Amino acid sequence: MGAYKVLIYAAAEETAGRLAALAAPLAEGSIVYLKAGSAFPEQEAEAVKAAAAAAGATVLIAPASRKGNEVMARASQLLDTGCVTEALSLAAADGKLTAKRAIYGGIAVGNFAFETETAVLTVALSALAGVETAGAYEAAASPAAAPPPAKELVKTEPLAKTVDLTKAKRIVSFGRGVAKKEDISAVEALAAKLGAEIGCSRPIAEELKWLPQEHQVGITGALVKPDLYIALGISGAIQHFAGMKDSKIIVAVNNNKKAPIFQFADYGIVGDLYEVLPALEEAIGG
Amino acid sequence: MHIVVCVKHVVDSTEIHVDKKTNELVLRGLSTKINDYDKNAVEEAVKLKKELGATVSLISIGPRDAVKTLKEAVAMGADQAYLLQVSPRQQLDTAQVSLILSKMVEKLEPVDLILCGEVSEDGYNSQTGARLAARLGLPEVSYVTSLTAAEGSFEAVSTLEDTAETVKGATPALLTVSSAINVPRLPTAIQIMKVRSDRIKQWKLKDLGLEDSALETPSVTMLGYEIPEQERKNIMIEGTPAEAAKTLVKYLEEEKVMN
Ligand SMILES: Cc1cc2nc3c(=O)[nH]c(=O)nc-3n(C[C@H](O)[C@H](O)[C@H](O)COP(=O)(O)OP(=O)(O)OC[C@H]3O[C@@H](n4cnc5c(N)ncnc54)[C@H](O)[C@@H]3O)c2cc1C
Repeated sequence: MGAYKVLIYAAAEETAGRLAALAAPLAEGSIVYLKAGSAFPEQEAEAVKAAAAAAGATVLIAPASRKGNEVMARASQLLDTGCVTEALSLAAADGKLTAKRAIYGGIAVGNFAFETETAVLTVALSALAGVETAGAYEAAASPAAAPPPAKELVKTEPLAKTVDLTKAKRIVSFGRGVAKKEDISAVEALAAKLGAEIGCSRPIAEELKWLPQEHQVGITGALVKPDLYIALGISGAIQHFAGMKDSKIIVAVNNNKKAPIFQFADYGIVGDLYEVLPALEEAIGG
Repeated sequence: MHIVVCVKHVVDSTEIHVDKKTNELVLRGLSTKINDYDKNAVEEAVKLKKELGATVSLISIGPRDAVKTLKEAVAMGADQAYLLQVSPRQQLDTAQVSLILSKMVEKLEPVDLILCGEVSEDGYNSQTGARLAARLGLPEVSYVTSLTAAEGSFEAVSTLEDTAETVKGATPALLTVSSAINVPRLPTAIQIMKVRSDRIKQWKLKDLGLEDSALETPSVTMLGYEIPEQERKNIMIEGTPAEAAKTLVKYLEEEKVMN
């Protein structure tokens, strides 16, 4: 048993269970769970602050969803305390709470220590996925609602996504090595043969706009973890790597044998993708 | 309308790499630039300036070298910039940064809109905008992918994981913008050169009513870092494209990742 009174803030009970399991070794007494509401982040942050005060909590944890990050960053300021977002793990050392998180887009993992008595954290969704859901907690007394900020929610719409790469089992991804928009058809042909979804690097989606944003893999795109990730004409910048590093098998095809992508690959072919693509399609057969 | 944009001067995160001999990050000697996401914030402010006749002020905390970044951002169309200069070795956490920025904003008041990038490409904390809004007691909208504003009000679309929320609000307010909101204009070298130095004003902590101790007490410190192991097979397949393709398919079948 640990030394910290823990408060969890999450919308789904399953997530709360995971967070509780993660925090259990650090927790003193029962873990308190404040269910995330649908009020504005300004009000939710006030609720987190009030619930923490009521429970005497000194460790406040939420999932690192966009809303989670926003609410907890604001709550940490209201409490005038340190905050670590996107934590991968937490521990206690020398009387301080510490948390690890990716730095510089994922090239390294930093170890951070809280210097404040209260610690606010959000846990990376990728780190949470691997934790059991069975952590025990008690519901927090729901705090009085804070007054609304000077804004109103006009509407909420589901994002019209043509593809969800985070769930794909196989992804054929391409970058600037593909010279013309028309040439995407060759990539699509290979993807169809493999039953794979199509991914791309940032320039393809953001600058050239050849594919919608949801196809972009990387730190500003989808974080994917397929069984098979084939990177065609992608140099392997760290911001791209951050989005595909959890793939089971990575294949790289690039005509520059020094391209960084080869360091991240299980199988590499140095060659012109315009020659390798048709050869691959042929070799797969069927 | 007065728009303040927070701009961070960062090392080019695409150049950071690991020294294979020492297994340490190489951070020195890299080029420095404006944080990618802040360019989107500057672009959005400049668009509003053209549309509404707004005044755009940039604020930044950074080393002397940050003047270069601010010149570039002024060349995009901002009116003036303010730099709180710190030593290049100074580490600041998000609590400290938001404190200093809040004092800079207060000095520039009246302010209608504050724009920040949703995140910075070096720290990736995603906290500064929310903390700054909290310090100033302002409403905020984060991850904004579309924005319209008029005197006294704004409407923004905030894009979350699976939903897009349209939010209407009164100014003053703080918004953090995503890279999808626009394509930032690229000022030419001549435009940047033409930005006169007096458009970038330097402030000291005491100009903001802060003591040096504001830089000395972080709420979070980095103890160290590790480079994650790359457990990859790194098998390079030789041969003609046809041979290489056949070999690869054989490997992938053995790995059982083909279906
Ligand atoms: C803040 C920030 C966030 C970013 N987020 C992302 C992100 O989420 N996702 C992302 O992908 N990038 C992101 N980037 C951009 C990233 O740094 C790289 O610039 C980008 O990934 C490069 O894309 P690329 O590999 O397609 O292009 P390039 O780097 O230009 O590489 C093209 C590659 O194709 C090879 N090639 C060329 N012709 C052929 C051919 N005929 N056959 C085979 N190979 C060929 C070349 O050797 C080269 O390696 C981000 C950058 C910043 C600063």
